[in-house]
Amino acid sequence: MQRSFPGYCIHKTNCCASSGNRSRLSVTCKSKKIEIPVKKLLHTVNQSPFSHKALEQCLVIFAAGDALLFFGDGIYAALAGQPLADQLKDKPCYGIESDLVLRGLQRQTLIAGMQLIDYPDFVRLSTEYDLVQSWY
Amino acid sequence: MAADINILPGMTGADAKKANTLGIVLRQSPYGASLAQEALEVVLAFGVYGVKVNLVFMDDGVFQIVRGQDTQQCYRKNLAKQMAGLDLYDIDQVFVCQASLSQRKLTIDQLILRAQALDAEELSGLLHSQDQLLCF
Amino acid sequence: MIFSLYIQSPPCSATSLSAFQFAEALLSEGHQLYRVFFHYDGVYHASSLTCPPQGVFDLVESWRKLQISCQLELAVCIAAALKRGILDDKETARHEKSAANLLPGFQLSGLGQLVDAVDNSDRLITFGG
Repeated sequence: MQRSFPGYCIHKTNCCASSGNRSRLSVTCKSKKIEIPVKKLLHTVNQSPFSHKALEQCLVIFAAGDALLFFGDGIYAALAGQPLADQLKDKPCYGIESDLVLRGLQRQTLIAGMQLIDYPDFVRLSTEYDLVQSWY
Repeated sequence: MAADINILPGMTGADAKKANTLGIVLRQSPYGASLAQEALEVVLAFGVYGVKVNLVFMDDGVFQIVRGQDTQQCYRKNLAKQMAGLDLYDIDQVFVCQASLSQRKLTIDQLILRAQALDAEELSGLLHSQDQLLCF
Repeated sequence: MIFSLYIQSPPCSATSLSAFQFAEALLSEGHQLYRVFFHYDGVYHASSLTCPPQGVFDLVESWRKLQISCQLELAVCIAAALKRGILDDKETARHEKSAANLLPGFQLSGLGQLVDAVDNSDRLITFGG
């Protein structure tokens, strides 16, 4: 597929041919070949999707292989009735359980597949993904 | 032709062991709080230390680089004017989210910086290929 | 793994409590905390003048104790600190202010320390908002 790779190719003329997989792309642009590593991101969101755009913006960047982690007011995103719930259905989602309990939401219906975790789990996840990107 | 591709130091078609690219995402409006100004100081610090910065404006962050900001009556430092000097710090890889511009009825020629407008897929690809990420 | 934390939120916010809980967890999991860099409203963590209400978790004091027990480097952006009235003895004299209020265990430093933290850490986690 011909496209350009911003940050690597400045032509913006769909001049790059690419091949590879989710973790690495080989890009050939006008006979120069480069390898672009593709990272897996853990996106953290600590703002409510009912009142802030952080989650919406995060989902613009989200790609296959990434995961979402909700803490603080971001835990409201765990609710099945939140405005962006449909977009989270097929994505790995984690929420800090103590934040859910603090807000009295432990008996609410959560998004299917939402995994409730603690801070040691948060640390572990941050080591399993290449980068942690914070949205607030 | 050698200048056409943004080949990072040490990259010769194989990986650079420590390529040190940093994606910085600016999402804050320019004058509501001081985070935009303090984020710019972070951007400049990385530039001074020779880190390869890929700067991305999205969400209300696109307002930071709108031309015509006049701070005379408000005793604030003019953020756009400071942004216009970024290339002095070798920060010349500037990208803007096309959707964020369109939602705000802005066009690329209204911006004070020469920025490349990216769609969601290109933006995601750019940020997933960075060695580190900061988001303000 | 080597972690650094970049804290922009003030000590009274839930985000800052999460940052501290994350720091405690990473240390107890055996990881290294290279540096905690306080910027923006996060610099308020370094004030010796905070008086949290009784019965509320004292985050500032908790960071101070963790710094001592784990020999942590708690760096505070000097520009952000001065703007918000957090001064050490040197800056107090330089700006001819009446008293210093930088909490022991915290150090005023430049943004170069953030650049260094990014360069020397496997993971940089930002806590903001």
